[in-house]
Amino acid sequence: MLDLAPEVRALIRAAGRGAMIPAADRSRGPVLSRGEVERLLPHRDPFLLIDEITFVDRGTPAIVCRCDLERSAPTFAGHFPGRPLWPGVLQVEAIGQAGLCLARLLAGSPGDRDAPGFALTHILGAEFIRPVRPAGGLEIVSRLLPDGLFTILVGQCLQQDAVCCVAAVRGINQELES
Amino acid sequence: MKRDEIFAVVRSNIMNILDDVAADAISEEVSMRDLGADSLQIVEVVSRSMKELRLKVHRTDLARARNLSELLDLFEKAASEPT
Repeated sequence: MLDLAPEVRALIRAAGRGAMIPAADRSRGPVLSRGEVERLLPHRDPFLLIDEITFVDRGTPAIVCRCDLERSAPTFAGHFPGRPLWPGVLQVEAIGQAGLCLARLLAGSPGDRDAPGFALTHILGAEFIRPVRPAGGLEIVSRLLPDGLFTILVGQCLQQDAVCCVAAVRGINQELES
Repeated sequence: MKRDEIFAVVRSNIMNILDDVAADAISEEVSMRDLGADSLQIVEVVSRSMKELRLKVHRTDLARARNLSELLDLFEKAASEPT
């Protein structure tokens, strides 16, 4: 297992305590629709988990996305019958997809699916603090940290402003061939 | 930066990332594959070494290095170039 840098540890701890981006900021930024998200990510139903992008901070850099849980009805039906919970692995995947959207937005023009991104190599850690229920949308926050030939993402899933999950993942950077 | 200094950083990272590799097994003639590294461990060693040495080498060039000697050549060249 990898040792986490103090900066990453601090971010993970802070992300468990509350929203990484204040609620007022999360809803004020530019909105990219699902169609525009499809131009950033190769994922498609039933595995495209990002429905819109509500906030992009190119400085930090950080992104906020929304996931429409109504589309996850088949998942909730089986996980679990009579006690629907959105799986933790999907929450981690959603944080990764949000981070990839941000990496591609930073690297290229909006909608540039060929812009460099990263491929997931490590799950550094994850905590599932509260269950994600079918009612109410889900917000996904992801922050990027450069790490040599890799990129680290620290993210969280929020439901009604409460932190449901915090995860840190790492991916190997993809570069345009020279 | 001297080649010996670069090699010391790479050797140290190899020993930190790979299990059970003795310092005297790490010579310029061997590759990290020879030492038992998988592809992710190789990238990890290279990434950490570049970070520590404050060097930038394009991934395409790194992929062509067949042994530690060729990796050190790339690092030495990058260290001699103005930033």
